Amino acid sequence: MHFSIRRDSFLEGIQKTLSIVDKRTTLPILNNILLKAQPGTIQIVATDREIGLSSYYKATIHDPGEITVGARKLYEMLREIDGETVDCQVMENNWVHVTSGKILYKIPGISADDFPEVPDSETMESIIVPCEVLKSLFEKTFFAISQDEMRPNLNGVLFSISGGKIAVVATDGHRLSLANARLDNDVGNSSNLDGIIIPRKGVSEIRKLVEGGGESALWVVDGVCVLKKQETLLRVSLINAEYPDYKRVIPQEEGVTVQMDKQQLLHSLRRMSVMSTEKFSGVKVDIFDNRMVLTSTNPDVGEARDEIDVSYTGDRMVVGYSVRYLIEGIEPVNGDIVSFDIRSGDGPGVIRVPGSDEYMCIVMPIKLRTEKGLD
Amino acid sequence: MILHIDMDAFYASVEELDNPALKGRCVIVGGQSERGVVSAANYEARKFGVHSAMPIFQARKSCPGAVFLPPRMARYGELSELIMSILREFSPLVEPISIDEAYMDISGCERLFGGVGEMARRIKRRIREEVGLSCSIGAAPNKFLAKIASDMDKPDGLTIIAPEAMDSFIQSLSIHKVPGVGKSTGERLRSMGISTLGDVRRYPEDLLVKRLGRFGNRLTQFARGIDQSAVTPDSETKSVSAEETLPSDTGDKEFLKRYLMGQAERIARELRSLGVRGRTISIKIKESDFRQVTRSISIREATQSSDVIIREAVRLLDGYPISKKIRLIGVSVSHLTSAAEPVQTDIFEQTDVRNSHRRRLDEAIDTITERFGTDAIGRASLKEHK
Repeated sequence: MHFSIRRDSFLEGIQKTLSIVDKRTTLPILNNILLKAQPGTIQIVATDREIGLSSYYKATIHDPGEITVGARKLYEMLREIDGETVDCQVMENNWVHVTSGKILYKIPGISADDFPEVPDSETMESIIVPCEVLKSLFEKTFFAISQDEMRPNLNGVLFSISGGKIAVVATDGHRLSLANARLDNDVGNSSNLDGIIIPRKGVSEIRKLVEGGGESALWVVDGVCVLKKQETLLRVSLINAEYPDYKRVIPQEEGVTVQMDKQQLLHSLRRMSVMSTEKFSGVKVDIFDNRMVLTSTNPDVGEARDEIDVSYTGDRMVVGYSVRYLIEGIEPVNGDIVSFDIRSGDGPGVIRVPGSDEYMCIVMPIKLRTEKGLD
Repeated sequence: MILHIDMDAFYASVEELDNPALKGRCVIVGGQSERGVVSAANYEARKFGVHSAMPIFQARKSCPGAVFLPPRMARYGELSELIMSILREFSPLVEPISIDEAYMDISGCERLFGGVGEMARRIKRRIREEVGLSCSIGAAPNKFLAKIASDMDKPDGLTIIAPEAMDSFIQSLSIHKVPGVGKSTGERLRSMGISTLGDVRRYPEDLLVKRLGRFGNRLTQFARGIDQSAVTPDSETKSVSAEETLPSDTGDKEFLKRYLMGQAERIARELRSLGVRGRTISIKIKESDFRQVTRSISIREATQSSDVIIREAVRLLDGYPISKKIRLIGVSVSHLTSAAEPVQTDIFEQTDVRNSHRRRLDEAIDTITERFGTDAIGRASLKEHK
């Protein structure tokens, strides 16, 4: 195998693979990427078995063929090379020579035969979704994905395309984030993209791929979700589990709703989060007489208090939440105003965008048992 | 700061509480035989010179009009638990040293409650309102001074030795007040010309050690206001467990389950009375050849619910393939955390009304058990083998 390629596009191609290959693996070849030289292009493939990434880059092929090399070192070499083009050739015993001008790197490759297969040729009926839409949907839900290995079904987002709508849901059992978007074309109800669970890492790869706009095509085959954007194909193995019935936990009746300036509320909450430690990150929200008083008391750190004017004259309500959950739930709100729907007792708090159903975040309270000890 | 909480004439006060007709009379709790001794005497009886450990016959002589009662330890224990649980709401570091006494480390908590004095007053008020008894509290920078302080203003007293007042307090503190100094040590010290801790401080340590042994070191430390001993809460119980050797070895899972359920129920009750929740549930199985196996599972949210512990224990047993007969079975719950810690509620359990039903059921069973004993109520599924 022998090819020449522009250094910047090669570098970009390798860089995109790093988050997939770059981790401890028991199979050394998974630290490598597969380089395939075909007439006019090289294909760069990376996989950790759960996620596969394959992309094509223009190149001058002197001799077709394939080889695998360590992604991290190849990336570092390309970064340090200052020439415009790079020449890449497989020598005897799978040694790979990377040259540019007077620079020569030699690294050992591993035969492509041992590399896990990452299919890229199947043609499936796909759904076209603007990258911007996907980006926004995942931005609004990613933070709520559970990282608790005991709950594998929550280690990803629930992704559904049905009718003219895409819905993405994420929850870790303490909060639940839900984002909706409309599609220009109604895909009907037959899509096999209705109700798949995309794992957290896959979502984070998709988020990178959809950066920069454009359109992407989506389909599901054999428990794998495939996303194609231009010459790049991302394959994500789906989580095969049952997602909890999240609709059941969306409160049907409204609680006490107050509307606030998003930035002001975020600032107040960040002031509270100064008190947070790993062990404790609670904030007490006390609403009465057109005021919302926030306090955070951490025996190990101290106490913080802040107050926001709100329009509320009903019964006094005191509820505790995790500060971080509130901040993360409010940040994705589009616009200047956030609506916060509060219930007393163990009832959930709901963050919404006023007059819109594009986003909702349900945050479960913290039971502040210390109340009893205070009087 | 350390608090020492000492209930005033505890046994006798409980008797007065349960029988108001005793109020104002001399009440002496103790052994009923003539060879018995006084366990506790109320303040009326103490006026006649009655004190604890005094032989009963002597007490009868000193205070002929007194009401003599046998001790009811179960009742005292019950109130003691209630008192300790109130203390634990103020600070997690509570060390009960006997049924009616506890140390509390309130470092860092005092400001939450408006200072040491205010905090101590609140504790006294809550014990008075919720238990109906009075206590005396001593507050000081260390345990030994806190204990001395609690005794200074009895009954219903509150004495605070602030760090800056500690020095002058120690200077004039009679050695007879120092814990560990009894009659003989006291006399020996007096013969050395020592009557206060101030005298101890001026006395050469090596000489003191020569005369008193290691207690001399301790005394010197006390005299300098040093007491390194920490408040070690008993809620640092690492686990709560129960196990039983079966009447005969068996491979009958249903039979084993009933044992397991009874044990799980008792453990849950114990967790609730300790005011803790546990995250890890384990079962222990000893086979007829004495080979021992444990299986455990960690749940997401720490629990003290009978139902949850029973469910997990039974599930663990279900998952264990029985190949040999079993001679012993047991359950334990570990990874305990204080039930007073804030709990993040779970989104999928909120609509699960079973949770609050379970809690209320547990509470109801606890109340019945407390009043009528453990045989008064139980699970129907456990009845068969009883």
